[in-house]
Amino acid sequence: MSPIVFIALKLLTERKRQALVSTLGVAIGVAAFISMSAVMNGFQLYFIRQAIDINAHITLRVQEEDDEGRILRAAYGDGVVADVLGSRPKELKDKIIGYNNFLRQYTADPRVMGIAPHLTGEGIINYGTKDRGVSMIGVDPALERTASVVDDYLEHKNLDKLVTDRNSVILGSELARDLGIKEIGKKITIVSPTGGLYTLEVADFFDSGITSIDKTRVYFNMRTLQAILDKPNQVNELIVKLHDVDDAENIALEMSRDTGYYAESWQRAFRNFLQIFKMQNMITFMIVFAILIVSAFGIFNIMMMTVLEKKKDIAILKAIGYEDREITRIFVLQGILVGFVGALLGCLFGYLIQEWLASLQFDIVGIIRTKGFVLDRSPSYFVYGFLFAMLFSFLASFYPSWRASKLFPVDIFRSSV
Amino acid sequence: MSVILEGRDLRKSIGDNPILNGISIAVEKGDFTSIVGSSGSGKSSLMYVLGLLDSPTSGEVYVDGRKVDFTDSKSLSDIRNRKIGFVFQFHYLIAELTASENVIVPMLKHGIKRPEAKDRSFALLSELGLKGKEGRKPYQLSGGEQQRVAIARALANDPEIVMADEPTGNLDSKNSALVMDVFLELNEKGRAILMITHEPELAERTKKVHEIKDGLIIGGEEAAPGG
Ligand SMILES: Nc1ncnc2c1ncn2[C@@H]1O[C@H](COP(=O)(O)OP(=O)(O)OP(=O)(O)O)[C@@H](O)[C@H]1O
Ligand SMILES: [Mg+2]
Repeated sequence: MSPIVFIALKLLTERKRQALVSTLGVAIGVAAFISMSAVMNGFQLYFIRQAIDINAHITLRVQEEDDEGRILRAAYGDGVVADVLGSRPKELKDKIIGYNNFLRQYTADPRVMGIAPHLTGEGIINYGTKDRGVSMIGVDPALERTASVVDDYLEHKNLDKLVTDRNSVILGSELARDLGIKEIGKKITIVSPTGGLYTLEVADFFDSGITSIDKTRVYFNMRTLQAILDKPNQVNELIVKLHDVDDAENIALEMSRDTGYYAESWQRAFRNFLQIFKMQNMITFMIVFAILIVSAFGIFNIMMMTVLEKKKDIAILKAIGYEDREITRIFVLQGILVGFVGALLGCLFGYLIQEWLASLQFDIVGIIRTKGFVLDRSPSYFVYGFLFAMLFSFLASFYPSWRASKLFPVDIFRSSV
Repeated sequence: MSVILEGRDLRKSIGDNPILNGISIAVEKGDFTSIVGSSGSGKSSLMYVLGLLDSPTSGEVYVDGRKVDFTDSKSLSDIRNRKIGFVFQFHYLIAELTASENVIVPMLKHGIKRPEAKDRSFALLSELGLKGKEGRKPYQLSGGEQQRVAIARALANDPEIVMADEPTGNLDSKNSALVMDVFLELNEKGRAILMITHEPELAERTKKVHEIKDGLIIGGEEAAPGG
């Protein structure tokens, strides 16, 4: 053992309380980092995964849902579009023409896992005395399976009931709860935009965990919805599932070009959420950074105090032949040891906190619904937490240690009379 | 006799304040030299320069006949570690270390392995009458014992010269006498000692006495003033 390690260890372990306090400071910082990252990223990853799976990786629509002036404004500036009062919107094209060709073309594309047609529309559902506005989706169950994971979220796995009984519907679980429907087989009434009334039977419930979807969505057989909306053989949406979700942006762009319709990637569909997540991550990062800074200041402070208290020891060490850089190392080593042990403890605490969080069972109802926290328990948070702590404790102890090494022993010998 | 340490025309000023005004002094093997003088005369300043803890404004220091390069901090550290032992008015023991560990610290720097260093520290402490107290922390020792541990530390690397700045300044007369006896004994065994003291009765017992006034040696080697 080198004399530096010997002296550093002695100085550190003989002042247990100080060492313990600063070690705990680091441990708390690291544990906070690990557990907060797990919760935040767990939530975000869960949300994104669910949302992507349910809403498709790419959605091909007749037109972008944003207002039409957007493109003009983007190209020519804000002043260019004026509202013309009294004008009536011209008849909009509202179907995808030749969708069967697209189906064939993209089914053959090796990057595409599946593609399915939708007819969507707004309607009103009525059960007993209750009415709700709903977004209706007509699907072809066989194709739907290739492009979405809708099956996974059905309580009774009755997707095929839409085929065997064309007058079946599948309700979002939250919608069903709102209406007071607890079991399948109930009859509901759908009011079409033109005022037609249709009685259908509830075949299943759909529970994705994404509240906004579960509260509004109703699945129909494609033919049934075409009849209700009076749009025979029409389709206004294609959903696409890809092998690699990260390809979505590029492929969506290609599809837009090829088809002339608007293809929206999941990234674009969820850009608001992704933006919010970015903010969330920034905030988490800032909080954790603040905690780490505080614990670094803890080390800094204690090292500064130690150096002040140890002036005489530093003076005598230099007098008996220790060089400046050896003095620096003696003190930096103490900081690093504190950081190292603190980081290890922090990883342990972080793990225990994750275990505890994972064991919690309670209903989370927000933009997603789960029982307890969804954690992202990636080992990388442990690695990062550990490295951050080591870096911070090195930086925090370096300056005080350097100061220590610059003490002039004669000044100490003179002044301590 | 061979000269171990020599200062030639040492001058030192701090700011406009002249502290050493041209001191030449030599310490030979077997010397027991004391430096006396009134407070503020420059005794400590001289020892810091001779002990390579501080650099002179002008003049040279020779150790074993070799001129010291005051800009080479590594070699200054080396010489201090191997050839000079320091004892101050206060013991400057490291509170976290035991008596034996305090003595080991300079040896480790010298490159002596721990088991050997430990044996040596025990031997030194026992020579200084501290047998059985090797494992005590400084606060568990009396003032005189602490100072003897400090002397053991000064002897750790078997230096050619021990420099002591009022080593008894903080001790009662009994402990003072004990420490003085230790120095006399060390000197008898051939070790050179340079001791600063206020006390004429201690200076009388040394072989050479230099009196310093205003940064100059005024008393010659043989002219030991009786007080
Ligand atoms: N940092 C400094 N700045 C200015 N003057 C200083 C400084 N250090 C010491 N001195 C002056 O140098 C002179 C010599 O000081 P030194 O400590 O060598 O005296 P001394 O003989 O050891 O005194 P004492 O017997 O009190 O220990 C004193 O006049 C002191 O005031
Ligand atoms: Mg003095």
